[in-house]
Amino acid sequence: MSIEVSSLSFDYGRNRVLKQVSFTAQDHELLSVLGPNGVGKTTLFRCILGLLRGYRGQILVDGIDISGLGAAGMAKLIAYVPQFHYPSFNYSVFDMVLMGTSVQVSAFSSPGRKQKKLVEEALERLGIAHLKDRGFTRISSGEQQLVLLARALVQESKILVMDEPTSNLDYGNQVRVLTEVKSLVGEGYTIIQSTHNPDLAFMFSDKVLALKDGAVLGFGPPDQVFTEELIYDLYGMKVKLESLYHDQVRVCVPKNIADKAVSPGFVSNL
Amino acid sequence: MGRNWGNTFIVAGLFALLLGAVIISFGLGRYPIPLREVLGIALSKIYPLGQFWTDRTETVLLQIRFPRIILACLVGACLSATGAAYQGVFQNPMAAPDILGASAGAAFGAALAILNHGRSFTITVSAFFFSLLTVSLVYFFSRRIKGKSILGLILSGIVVGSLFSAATSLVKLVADPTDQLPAIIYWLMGSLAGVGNSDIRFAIIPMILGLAPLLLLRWRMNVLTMGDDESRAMGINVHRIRFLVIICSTLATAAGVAVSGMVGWVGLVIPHVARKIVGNNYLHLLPASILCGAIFLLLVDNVSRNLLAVEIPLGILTAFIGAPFFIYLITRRGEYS
Amino acid sequence: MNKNKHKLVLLAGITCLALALLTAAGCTGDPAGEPDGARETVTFTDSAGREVEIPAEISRVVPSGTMAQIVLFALAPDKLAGLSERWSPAAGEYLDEKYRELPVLGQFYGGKGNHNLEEIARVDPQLIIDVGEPKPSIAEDMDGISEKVDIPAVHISATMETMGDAYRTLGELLGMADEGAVLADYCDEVYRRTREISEEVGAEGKKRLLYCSGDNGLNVITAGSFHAEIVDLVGDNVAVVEEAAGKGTDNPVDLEQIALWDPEVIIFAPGSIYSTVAGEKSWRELTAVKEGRYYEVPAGPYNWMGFPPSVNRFMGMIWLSELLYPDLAGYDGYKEAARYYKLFYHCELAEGQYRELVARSLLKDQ
Repeated sequence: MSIEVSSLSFDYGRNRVLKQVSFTAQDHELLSVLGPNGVGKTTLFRCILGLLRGYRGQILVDGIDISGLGAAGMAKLIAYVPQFHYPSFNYSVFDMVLMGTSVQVSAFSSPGRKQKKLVEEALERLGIAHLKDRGFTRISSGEQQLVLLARALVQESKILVMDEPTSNLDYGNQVRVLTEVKSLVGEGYTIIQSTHNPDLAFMFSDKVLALKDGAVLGFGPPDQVFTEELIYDLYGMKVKLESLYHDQVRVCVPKNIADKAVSPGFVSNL
Repeated sequence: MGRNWGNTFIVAGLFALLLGAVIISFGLGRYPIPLREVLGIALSKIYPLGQFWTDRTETVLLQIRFPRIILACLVGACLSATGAAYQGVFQNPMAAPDILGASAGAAFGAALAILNHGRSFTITVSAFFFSLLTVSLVYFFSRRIKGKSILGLILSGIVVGSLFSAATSLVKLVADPTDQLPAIIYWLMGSLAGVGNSDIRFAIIPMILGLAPLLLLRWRMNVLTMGDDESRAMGINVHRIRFLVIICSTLATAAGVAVSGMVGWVGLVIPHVARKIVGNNYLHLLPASILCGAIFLLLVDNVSRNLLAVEIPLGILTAFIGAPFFIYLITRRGEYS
Repeated sequence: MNKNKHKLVLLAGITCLALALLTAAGCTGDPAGEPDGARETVTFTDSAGREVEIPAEISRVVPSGTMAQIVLFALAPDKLAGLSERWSPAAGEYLDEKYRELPVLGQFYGGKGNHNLEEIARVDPQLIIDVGEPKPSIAEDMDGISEKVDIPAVHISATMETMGDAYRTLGELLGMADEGAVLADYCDEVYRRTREISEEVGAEGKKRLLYCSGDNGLNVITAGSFHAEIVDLVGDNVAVVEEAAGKGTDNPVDLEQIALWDPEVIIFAPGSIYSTVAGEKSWRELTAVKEGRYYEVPAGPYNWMGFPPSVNRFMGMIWLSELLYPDLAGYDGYKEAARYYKLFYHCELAEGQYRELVARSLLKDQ
């Protein structure tokens, strides 16, 4: 499944939040959206998910214009992994994930055997089957993120939109979640995530979309988009990009720290 | 899924408990009727039986006790079911059936009917329709409020509700203090004293029209607690479901409040009791709320009609029991808070 | 798992229950079994035009409300099987102990009330009697009660003017025609005398009067309301407000409005501000207060001016006529009160008791 966004603009009243945003994402691709807070990432996602109407431009999923789709139609194409927030009511992990199957059952009935099987599989797949009877608020934040991911998987749509899936996770959990995400991409999912971590974005992404003030600053494969200039433009911070393992990994090091480190007698591997 | 099966048994247990409570309640009352005669009268309805009780006993049982017990159960069930449903669709544990002004409107309707010398059935009907009218107004205004729809609903609920409360106060001001004013005040305190079988016939249709769809929609309520964006992304037409829940809840609440007057706390506290018992999953929570609400109001009404020779208004008792119990609940939040 | 089956069973169960209730509610409307043949009954047509089958000899009745309670107590205290409302604590001084221990059954108000139907059934009166102004809903209210407890209920309509007739009807109903006639004649006489005095005084000569109540004295009884009947009849009620302000009787007003009305005489409800008003700067400026023409309505066991607006108001008519127009009325306060208390409360009012009742209610020496 592909998603194609062209010339997308959105205004909140007089405030233009998105300006002519265009990009595409294919299956087997992880697209990371980078940019400081308040740059329009959430607005972009809400447009893609069909939660915001009244945008200008076009969003095509597999060539179909989504502006004509209802909630159920959208849910069959795109699943959403929200940023973690405390739910109003606590549910068991199993029930929480089961909610993802709602689009498959009519409004007046509840998920049946088939949906429950899907949930079991998704939990198994993400290695959290042992948590299924635990309360959602009683598990670690990494596990919660995986539960939300499982909930998106059972929705059985091939595009996932993830809002900062790693933002409140510790380093280990960030890598753990992103590894799962990466392996889903390997299975053919199209995944769009927003992130604040350029290092991890470079490491895991197939494409990067850099947004600033609602406009696209750069879009393409990470090794082409990621430059010291881009990071400076995005975050107003001078960095030095260090390449490791034959450019498999790039690390941002703040310039002032990097300058101190490259002192006489210190052999850099540049 | 062990938990689900456990909960199914709990719901079945609650149902059995309710049945038991109903049977015992038939034996309770200021007018002494031995359980033997209660059973005899009940049996005689399906099987010809020699009458070994007085006519008076039969009348008291069928005309006073029967409608009261049934309505206590129905009103309790409606209030707590709608309370639970509103808590879900408004994503707010503090939501209660009167959040959209259903009670305030019913109170005004009843007060107006009392002021105009309405007969007791007129009062009930007037309360019912003003309750529906109030919620319709609230819904209508909320559609005109930009931004978050839940906030809009709750805000216009507060505004329209307080308008109707003010109107009720105005009616109280001009009402005759010797008979109309006390009638209004007793209505506002809530009571099932004086309900009859005609009240059952009036209320049961809207109650069922309200409760049955709520029961069917209960999985959707789970999803709606996740928030508007998330549930929509999961394929739920949030506005349509919420609208349906509001219509059904309003029907059930309006019918309940119209026959019982203002009975507070049931719709807020009982769903939380049910949450403690079966958890937050509406598949079990809603039936459990209905059963707990019915049991609770039945027991409280038993106190109301048995404790003293004169009736103790139901609303006062539910507040005296409900408020402290609610504090107890929120001060020891458990797993399903 | 067979979730769906489970759900179906649940819904089916609920539907069945509902249907059962519906049919049960429908079929319980059957008339109760035929009346006991042993007891003789007669047909009585009450003031609402209802034909009610009642026992020929009645020895146990209950009132539907306080209004009826006071009326019935005067006529047939020993036939009362229960009360609507506990007698006021002050009643202890006047009423016999045995009447104060009757079971309290609550009051019926049309909509909801605190009357306990089962308790009424348990007390087992032969008749439930409602006395008062006829209301549009009265026929249905009476039918509703009597259907639920299987005890006949009648409505006897009564206003100040028709109280005599009401007592005659009640006397007939309870087999106490003589006693009823005595009370009826008394009511007729007092009402006629009060009217005469009022006519003699004429519209011009009537004292400009205001009835104030509430713990700040700022609630007034507006002219034209049911409760203002005596104030309107005997005095010139200055509290005239537009219809829009309502027919309420406890209308709150402010002191400016009272000053504007400038009543010649103010009467305060029991427990209002009679005792403190002289010390209050704002009230002191009113003519009535300045000149000492303000009084408190005597109360015991009930307010003489009403609340409830029952036969206690006949004592109010006598008192107010004498207070405003002593020369015309020429009542002997104590004798009238003693007669009234004997007739209506069945007690001998000692002179000391009378003095206490009217201690704040008579002309002050100026």
